[in-house]
Amino acid sequence: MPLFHTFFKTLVGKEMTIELKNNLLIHGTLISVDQFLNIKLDKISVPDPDKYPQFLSIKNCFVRGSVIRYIHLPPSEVDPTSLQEATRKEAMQSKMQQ
Amino acid sequence: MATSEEQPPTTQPFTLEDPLDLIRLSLDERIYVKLRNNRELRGRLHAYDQHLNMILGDVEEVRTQIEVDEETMEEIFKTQKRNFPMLYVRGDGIILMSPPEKPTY
Amino acid sequence: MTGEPFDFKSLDPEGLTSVVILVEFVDKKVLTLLRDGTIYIGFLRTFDQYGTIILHKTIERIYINEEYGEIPLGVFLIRSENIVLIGEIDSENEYPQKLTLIPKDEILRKRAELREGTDNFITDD
Repeated sequence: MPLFHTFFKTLVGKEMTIELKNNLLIHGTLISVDQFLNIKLDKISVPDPDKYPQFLSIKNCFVRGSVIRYIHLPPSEVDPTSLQEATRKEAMQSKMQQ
Repeated sequence: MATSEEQPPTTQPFTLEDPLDLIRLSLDERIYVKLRNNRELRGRLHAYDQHLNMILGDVEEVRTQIEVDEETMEEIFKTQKRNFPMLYVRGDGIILMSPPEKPTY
Repeated sequence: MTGEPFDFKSLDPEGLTSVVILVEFVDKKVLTLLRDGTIYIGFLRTFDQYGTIILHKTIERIYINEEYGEIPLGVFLIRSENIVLIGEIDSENEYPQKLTLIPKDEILRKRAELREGTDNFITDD
């Protein structure tokens, strides 16, 4: 059922960039994700460290799912065909449950 | 019998019951998505869920800002574009989605 | 604490709840960024299923240009919907090296000036 939760679990250990709704960009390695799509990243970096001195003190962080606008994903780690199949499957499953 | 569209053997019955069914038809198609904050996306739909969280491939984002010229009071539209090979989009920012305005055929 | 670190992931191998993510921060010094830009630094003592947290020995750190200041605050409960991110403080880089620490009253005054903007720009000079 939780399609995106399962999908992100396959990306643990991969690098990605999270774009927050406040326009902040955080690059890091995915450590874990929960059912709310809250995300924990390791080895984080921000594009303009001098503008955001706060981030110099932290190496890993938890990001609340609801503040995320986009996640820029590494295309090599994503298989569009299996994503589409999984989406269709989940859509059919939730229809049958109604 | 007049020729009409041939009915292929159906593996998935085509029933349109809720809006999400319409989105299912757009899988692997290019779509247009309007987001909050004057952003628009055009990309290929690879995945979505009931919250409208999505994964789009080959995406172009267009951000539009309207500036008013102080002297002439003219409205100037400025756009900025970005491209992403693969993008996860959180559903709560989405206003609407539809097939792209310019068909590719 | 002695012995091997507890394997928190075993509590929730599917990662179905926030437990696995936040429990690793308990009793650690963390930096919490709120939606309005406020930064609190303190020891994360507890959290609930919504991600609401309690910080202990909390300070608010205010950054203005090349300077920063710290306001001691004590025990804070932060409602989860206001949280943007929680980062684990790296003890080596805890204090920003390129910036100057200034006293609490000064940073508060500077922030008040910023917030007022140029509205009350009446000076005696």
